[in-house]
Amino acid sequence: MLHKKRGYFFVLDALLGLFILVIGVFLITSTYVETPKPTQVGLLSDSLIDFLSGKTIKNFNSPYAGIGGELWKQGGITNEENSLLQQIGEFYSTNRLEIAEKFIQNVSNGVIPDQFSFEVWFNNVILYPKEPSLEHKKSKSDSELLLTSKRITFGTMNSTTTKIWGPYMVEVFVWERGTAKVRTTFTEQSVCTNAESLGLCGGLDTLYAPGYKCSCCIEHSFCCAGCS
Amino acid sequence: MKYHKNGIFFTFISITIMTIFILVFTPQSDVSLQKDLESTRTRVNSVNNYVNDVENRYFEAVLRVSGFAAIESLALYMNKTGLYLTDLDAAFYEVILNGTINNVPIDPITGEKLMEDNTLVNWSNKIIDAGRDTLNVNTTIIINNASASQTTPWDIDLSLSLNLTVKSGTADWKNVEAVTATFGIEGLDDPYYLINTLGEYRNLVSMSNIEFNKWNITHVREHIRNGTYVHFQNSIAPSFLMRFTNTISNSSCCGIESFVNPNLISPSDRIDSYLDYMLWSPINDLPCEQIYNITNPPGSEGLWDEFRHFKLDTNHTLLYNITDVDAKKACP
Repeated sequence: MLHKKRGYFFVLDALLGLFILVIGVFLITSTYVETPKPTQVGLLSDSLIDFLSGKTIKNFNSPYAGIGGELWKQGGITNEENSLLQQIGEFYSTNRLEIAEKFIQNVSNGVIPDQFSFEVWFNNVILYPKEPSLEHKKSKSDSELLLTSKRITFGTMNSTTTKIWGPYMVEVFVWERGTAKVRTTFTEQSVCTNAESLGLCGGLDTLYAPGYKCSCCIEHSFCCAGCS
Repeated sequence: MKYHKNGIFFTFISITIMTIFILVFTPQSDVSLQKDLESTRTRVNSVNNYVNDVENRYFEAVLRVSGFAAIESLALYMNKTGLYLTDLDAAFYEVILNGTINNVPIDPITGEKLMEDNTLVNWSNKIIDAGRDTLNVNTTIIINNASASQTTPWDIDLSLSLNLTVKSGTADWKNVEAVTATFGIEGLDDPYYLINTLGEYRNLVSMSNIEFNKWNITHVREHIRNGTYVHFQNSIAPSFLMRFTNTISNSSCCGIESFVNPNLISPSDRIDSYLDYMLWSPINDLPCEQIYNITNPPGSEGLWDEFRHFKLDTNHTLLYNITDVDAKKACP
């Protein structure tokens, strides 16, 4: 009789242990599920800049920015072969920043889901939104994930021979609103940037972790000397 | 003794479970590798887009804009020096590459800032800087050659050969590129007019829209008035680029010709055909018997009321469909 009771005790103990293990596994796997998030935001920033640089005015059907649209009739757009990004660059090079902001707002409509915010910068000058609201700034600073895609753009002032503008550095920042910050990369951009500007790249592996320096190179394009 | 055996049994189960637990949740090397591969792939794609842009679009635009400025600079340079170029290819290459001619900056000579910050070297440095600042890549550009030629009368074809090397932290690109570009000559100064009038007569190239079989005295009047140019099939006129080196021979593909306005030259009365390449070239001089005054006898639509002393040779009188009502022999 005593032996039978002990048997129940051990079975219950095993079940309890199994239950704890299942809960543990569940919690751990839950954290793994979060990892696709950065990829999604990264894809959005890449997609936005790919969309802007790949779509030409003549292939863009819009009552504001397309051929025959509002800007076309006003003479704001003259070259239908320009990509949307080149058209923004032309506005920037001729200091028509208000038109550039409205143009970006118009052409990006529906490209970025509502729960995400984004910014477009040309040569370290913010074009969209031209004057960020406090809510926008807070959303950016509080965001869980903030990823950027960079590209170079350039163009001619018209299709013939007059003048080239650029090359300009274009940066698109995309982030999800209203979530807590989570590390999406092995390295931190600020650390990599500071290390490069202060010439301290060589000490990153010692200070942080082995491979940190070359991860800076892969993830943020800094401290690339000696990384293959 | 039986209880001791149970203890070993449960200990064994615990160790087995722990082993499974550790094996399942130990970070797998392939996960780390996959993450690294994704980062590398993204970076390679970014740099590859940059390389493609530089190869296919950037230098095409640069060649077109700088080439146009270089050709116009050379025409203005000839106007200032009053001399034809001895080697157009060498002069063009030096101007488009460095903005110099015979190692002297060309802009101060021409008085126009056409090549300022607009040479191949300038634009190469700009894209190198942009690549470094934006993508942290080291770009090396070596210009091998640049040249201008014509295969059609109204366009100049430009070609550029360069070595492009891009080094990023993850991969290297190394290519020898041949870039081509084309621009129209309309709006450019005709150096032949500038040289032969010491800069007094400036004629910009502008294409006539009259079809080859629609010429008549009225269209000829407009042609002189507007200083427009025309190309005839199997033309015996020189091309636009041939005018830079005083190569006054036929260019069947690309020859263009215009009428010289007698009111804008001195002396205005000459025994010669007033085609640009004939009037100023001794090799195209014709006997007086082959020269016709395009006069305005009463009742005709001749040209001397507006362009006194205007003359044409026999072939061009026929080519422009001017009848003997308007054309009278200069030497009867």
